[in-house]
Amino acid sequence: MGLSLRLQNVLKVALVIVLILAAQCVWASEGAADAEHHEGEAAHAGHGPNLGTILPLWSVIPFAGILLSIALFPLLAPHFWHHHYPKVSLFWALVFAIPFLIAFKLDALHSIYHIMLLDFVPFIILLGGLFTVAGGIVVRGSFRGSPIVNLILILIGTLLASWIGTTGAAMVMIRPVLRANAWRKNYVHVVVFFIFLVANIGGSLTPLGDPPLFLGFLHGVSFFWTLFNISFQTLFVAAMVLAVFFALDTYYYRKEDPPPDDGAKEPIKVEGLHNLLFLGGIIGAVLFSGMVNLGDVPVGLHIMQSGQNIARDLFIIAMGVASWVTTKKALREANEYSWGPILEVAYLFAGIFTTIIPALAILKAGEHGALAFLIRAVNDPARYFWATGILSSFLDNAPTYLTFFNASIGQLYPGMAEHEAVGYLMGNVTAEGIANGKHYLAAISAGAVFMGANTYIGNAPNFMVKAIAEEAGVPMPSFFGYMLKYSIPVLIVIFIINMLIFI
Amino acid sequence: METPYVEIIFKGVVEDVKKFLADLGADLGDDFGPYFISEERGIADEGRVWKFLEAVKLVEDHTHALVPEKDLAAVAKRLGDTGIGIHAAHKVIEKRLQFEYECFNEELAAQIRALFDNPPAGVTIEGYNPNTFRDASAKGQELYTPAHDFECKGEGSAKGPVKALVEFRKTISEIPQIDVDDISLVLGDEVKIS
Repeated sequence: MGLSLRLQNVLKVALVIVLILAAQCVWASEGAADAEHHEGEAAHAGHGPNLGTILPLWSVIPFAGILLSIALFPLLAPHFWHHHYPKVSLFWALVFAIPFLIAFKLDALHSIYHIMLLDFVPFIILLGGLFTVAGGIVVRGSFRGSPIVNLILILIGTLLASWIGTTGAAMVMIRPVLRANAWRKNYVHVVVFFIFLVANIGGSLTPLGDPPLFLGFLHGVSFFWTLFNISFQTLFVAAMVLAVFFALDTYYYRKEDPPPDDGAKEPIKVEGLHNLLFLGGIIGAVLFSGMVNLGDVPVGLHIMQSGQNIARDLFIIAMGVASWVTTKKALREANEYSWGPILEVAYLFAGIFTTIIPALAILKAGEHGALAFLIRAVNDPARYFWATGILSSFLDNAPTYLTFFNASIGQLYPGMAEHEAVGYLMGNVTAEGIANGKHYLAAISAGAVFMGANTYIGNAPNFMVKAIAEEAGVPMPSFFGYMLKYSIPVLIVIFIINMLIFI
Repeated sequence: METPYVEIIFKGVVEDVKKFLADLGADLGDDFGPYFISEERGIADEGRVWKFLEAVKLVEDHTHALVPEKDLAAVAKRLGDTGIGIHAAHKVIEKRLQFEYECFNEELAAQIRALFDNPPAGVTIEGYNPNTFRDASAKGQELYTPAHDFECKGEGSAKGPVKALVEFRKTISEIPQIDVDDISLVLGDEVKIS
């Protein structure tokens, strides 16, 4: 058999990622032959250097490096990665930060401090809060994995995902789904469609659902914007995927032997329901921070954080602590809850947020930055949908969202302050001669969230679900098996139809 | 004493060859066989490219089957008016089945290992080095570092009489964590059937 299965898979994954990135570059290069460099032209007078017009393209190498590390190490060397990922993250952060600090001194320090304080810290607090609260809710009971029961379980998970996060919903629902289907011979597809819907598509309606949307919220996109602007897309895509799932599950179910009569049935019940109060508290805190203005608070280096955001973060921490204190240990053990996933997010996103600085600055500079060719090539909502989506399939979708969010601002509103541009991008503010960007933002949001389902490495809960299923004895498909048997024939086709109808 | 077999490549579609051999078996009873149609039993044949070319009628239809050497005369005698021909026939010198598995569930791993530790009579396992790996730190949920706390891997090959090997292949291929190749054949001299 020659090369081991894992090595063969790794080589194939690496090849595909390289080809995808190369294809994106070629695509982006189209029409950019006349790209000119306008370094320094758009420098903001009186606000220090405009880093986006000065930084060279190669300054994004550490950002690409950390994203590729996250994508490839779990396949290439899972145990090395498991033990050393903080060092890898630190490595890429330092590769960028040291020369950046030497070259730009206080401006660089300001940039790093700004993104860590205003993006990284609230991001971790929200994910930690949601994960802790969701980890206290346990679904028990003897389900029998018939097509209708599976449909209902996956639908519940899909509906939960936008409110407790895709990770939380996946954690709460995957074990009941596996228990319900343990008697079946063929139920790999149930887990795969669970990944499609619960771990990805279901999270598209609120900033709580999926990390990319929370990053959008932190950058000024209102809480209900996605609910009001992509809910029809979500409904359409989820309904189509569920319909395919039901047909497929019915087909396989009919080939199964009759279910065994295994005696006493455990009644269906949900425990730890008091955590819904804390979940309501988190939702309320996030909503509060979007609606109230408590004024700005200086947090050092001339950076201001708004009072309502500080209040929100403190309240979310309080909700997490309250959940931790009031939830029985046995419930968390039933969910195999640990701090591990939050530590992973903290370590890796510290690296991501540090290294993303040049990419965001260059993209915000629009046609005056080193990624002008990308700005020119990705120039309509459909292209934003696919560019964000395809990259989100192979790289983490949160930084990908932020990258294209900034690309759209750089393209549509060059030189405009972000808080002002986001109003136009949402379509909430309109003005003569200024583009309404809401179709762009809808395309970026849908692309980032939906297409995280295209591969195992598109979204973090995909890997979590795969690992839990494999440990339960489910023969999950390989990286390419998942794509060739499921995501390409089902999801890509549905996304094309979605684009033709909605984008 | 192991029954010697011959691989016959029939000229004809699989349904016709199956019927031909089944009719022969029905007439001769226990004296005939057992025989094995290669594509049904996971025995290597000319492969998918040839099957595609057959489907688009670019090459003639071939059906591979393993038939006991003692039954060749009966096959030759019956061929006459059936419309089925023989493209080639060779003695089977060696049969080998390669397998590989990867499993993250202890109970299932024990089940898999038992299959290879105690193969059926006549089947021998070669080059098999099962490897169990535990990493207590990988227990529980992970988002970005999905290592398993228990891993069991193994690869090797099995040899033995045709019937035992075909049955062993069927047994292990029912466990989806085991990746099983087709049974590969080493063929000897051509056999004339007439």
